[in-house]
Amino acid sequence: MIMAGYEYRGKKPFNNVYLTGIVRDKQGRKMSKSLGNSPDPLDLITKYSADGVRVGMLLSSPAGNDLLFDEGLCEQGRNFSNKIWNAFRLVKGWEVDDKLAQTEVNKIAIEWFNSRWSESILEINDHYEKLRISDALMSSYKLVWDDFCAWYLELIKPAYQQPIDAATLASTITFFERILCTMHPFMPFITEELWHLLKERKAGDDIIVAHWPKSEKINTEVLAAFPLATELIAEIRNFRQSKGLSPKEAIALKVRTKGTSKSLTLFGDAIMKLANLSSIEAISEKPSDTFPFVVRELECFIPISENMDKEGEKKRLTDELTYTKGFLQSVMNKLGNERFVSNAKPEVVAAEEKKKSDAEAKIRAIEDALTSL
Amino acid sequence: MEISKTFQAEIAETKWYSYWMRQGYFRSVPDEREPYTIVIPPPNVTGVLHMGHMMNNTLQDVMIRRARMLGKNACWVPGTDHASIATEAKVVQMLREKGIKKSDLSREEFLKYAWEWKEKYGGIILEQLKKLGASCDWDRTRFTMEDDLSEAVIDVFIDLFKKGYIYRGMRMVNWDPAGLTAVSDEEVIHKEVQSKLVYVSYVLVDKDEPFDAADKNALQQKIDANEVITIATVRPETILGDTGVCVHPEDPRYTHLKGKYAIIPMVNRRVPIIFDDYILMEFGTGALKVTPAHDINDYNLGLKHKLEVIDTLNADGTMSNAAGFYIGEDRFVVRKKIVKDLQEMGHVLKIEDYTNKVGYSERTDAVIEPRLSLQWFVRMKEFSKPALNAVMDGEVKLIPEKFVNTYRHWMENVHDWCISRQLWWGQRIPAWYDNKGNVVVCKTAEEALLLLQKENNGVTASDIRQDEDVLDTWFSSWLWPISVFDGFKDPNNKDINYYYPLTIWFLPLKFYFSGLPE
Repeated sequence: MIMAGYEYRGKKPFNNVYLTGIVRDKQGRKMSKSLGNSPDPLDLITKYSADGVRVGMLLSSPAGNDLLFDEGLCEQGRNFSNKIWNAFRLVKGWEVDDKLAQTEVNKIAIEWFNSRWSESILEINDHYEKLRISDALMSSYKLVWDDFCAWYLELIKPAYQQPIDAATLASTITFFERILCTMHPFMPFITEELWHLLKERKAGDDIIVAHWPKSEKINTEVLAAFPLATELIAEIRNFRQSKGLSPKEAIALKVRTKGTSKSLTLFGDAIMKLANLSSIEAISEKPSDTFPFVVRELECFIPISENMDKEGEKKRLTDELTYTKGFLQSVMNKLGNERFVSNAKPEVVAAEEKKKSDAEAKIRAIEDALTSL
Repeated sequence: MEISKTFQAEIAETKWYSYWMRQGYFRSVPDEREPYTIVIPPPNVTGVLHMGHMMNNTLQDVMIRRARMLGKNACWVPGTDHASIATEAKVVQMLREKGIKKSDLSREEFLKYAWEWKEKYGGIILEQLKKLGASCDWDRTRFTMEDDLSEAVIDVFIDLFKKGYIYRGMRMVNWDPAGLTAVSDEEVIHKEVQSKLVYVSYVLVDKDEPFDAADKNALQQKIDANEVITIATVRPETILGDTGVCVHPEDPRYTHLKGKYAIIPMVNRRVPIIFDDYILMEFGTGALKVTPAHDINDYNLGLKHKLEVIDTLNADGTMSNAAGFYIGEDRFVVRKKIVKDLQEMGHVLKIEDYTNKVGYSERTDAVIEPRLSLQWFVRMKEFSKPALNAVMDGEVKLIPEKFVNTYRHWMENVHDWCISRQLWWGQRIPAWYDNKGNVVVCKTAEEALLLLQKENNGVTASDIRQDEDVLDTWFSSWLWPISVFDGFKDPNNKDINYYYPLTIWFLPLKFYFSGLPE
């Protein structure tokens, strides 16, 4: 073809050649009728929808020059479709109260998602320009599933049967449109359907010909502060689970940190909402009667409450203390062995020393926690 | 409005696809916007959608839909290729089910059936692509065997012939000595048969050492001195066409034979001992008689080691003049006779029963003979240089980039491309022959007659015939990015000037590695 192009047009026939791999089954076998491992594409479409199959194909992992296809990927594609559908139903279910003022949480959530989306679309565009089509899908997928559904919608979600303010809903609909545009090349059908369900459209206002959305101004401060906020929320959620504390019971969090944390100043309200905190109090002295834990530079303390399973926690800590002490002993034995210390490589000895100091630190922390209990 | 609990995919798919079609969103015509062009790698017209297509076409649709949203003039051209061999095989099978043999039909009658079949069953795959959501400009659907595209193929053949890039040369084909025709691999049925494996000793000599094959005493002396090399064959009649004996370079039994020659029995031909690791040491005696005219592997060995080619068979399976013995007798009669004669002379060491696979013509049930015949080729070495440079200089980008090395290797080791096929479904080669062996390449029989009359004064229209063969389907496909925009028929038309070169060409890797002519 390249030869024919130069011979008969005096120029190349194409600018890029995209080589697509041979599709194999998940065990890497060639697909064939006799092996029965070659699904009928039309059956897959009936089962998982065209959008689901398209996403499933592009989620196939490359293996050398081939692609390993697994029907489970089409299922994942269909589940993704359901996720978007449910997100839409959630948003559509909210009542609007025009008089309601926009909360600080909603304001920062909108500011953050706008930046996050902008950052993502730049990355997605870059993938497309370099023809990394599966990477473009992966980035789009994470943007929709993690950032939009798991964080943004949770942040702005009004309490049960409560209305939402008009400004937040308007922003959310705009974001939803951008999400749909981002997903349209991969999932043309559900995106067109939702494009029209999202609001009344003039004739010809169809997603297939909608403009590919452009990135907006990125607030780097907000973007940078968000991950620590999510880690803190996740940590508190874990804490509740391990202590048998109901999500409904509000927690008064105390935090000690050097200077001020942008994550707390910007996302304090957001953390309170998603982690169900009654307060976040900045402290300088280590308080008593609390559970301590650390999230990066934040030293956090949660007061011991009646509803916590104190005895269970005591037992867990005691067991852990016993185990750690035993572990420390075995390390000490090794370090006490002269033959080991003089024959082993210095870095091996150093690793053992590190194990020793870590174990000692852990024992102190557990003992502290037990004392406060 | 009541929103359904789950997404009703099937309803939405039908609804929106037909809506997009009605709105003409897939349609593209040249305008002032930047073009974004994708042309489908044409699937077989008789094919059905498989997972490879799904992958390839999902990628194309993703890229074309995004380009459309970016405000580019996105154009995705669909179409199919005529798949010479695959389609002809299916038509032959359909006819067989109706009790009609291809050999009972004229070329025209067969093609009529083939077109009917194509109209009825062809293009299912394009309908299936719609289910996937493929946003092709269906008004631009092309087929590699439609009139305009076929004409482009013929014109290009004639042009390349004139430029000296196309020539006619020898090539080994599956020959049916009863049907007097070459047949495709698909038309050969391999059956297991009981044969006799005959072990024959060839005398070894130095380069200039005199030897007379007819001298029985001399032969006996050589055998007693163990100055022989023994080969094993199930086709002893081909001995008459032997032009070499091959052994493995690492075979300890034969390392002392460097520079030696063997004498072919009866014909008294002095042939070199050649060394090649193609040989399986474990098979037979580890020594192979090489008959370049009658075995494809021997033919390739012969090419590599520059061995003579002696065609000892006539088209009907009888021995030719070149055989020197048994001239005009049938190959199977000779197979028995020659063993007896060789035994009498003392060349036969032993005979064993042997089970092997033999190819039979699907049509006539005759045993297929590998036979050298005249085929058409494209000279690739010079022609492929711009294509190699385009990729090496980054003019054409390969994604993933790692395939650049494979590409270079392939292009630097490219063989001449055999473009003729012994089939009817395809573009018939525009070469014409007269009764005196003259050949001309041109578009019509009328032109051919005028041209041939220059060489052969008295020739009339009834003396000339067109080449029976058609062109390889790839000889259509390689023009596809140009021909879908009528770039041959009308080289300066609006479409080709606007859409060419394509933005991306999505090539399934299996074509890349099977060595498609780029």
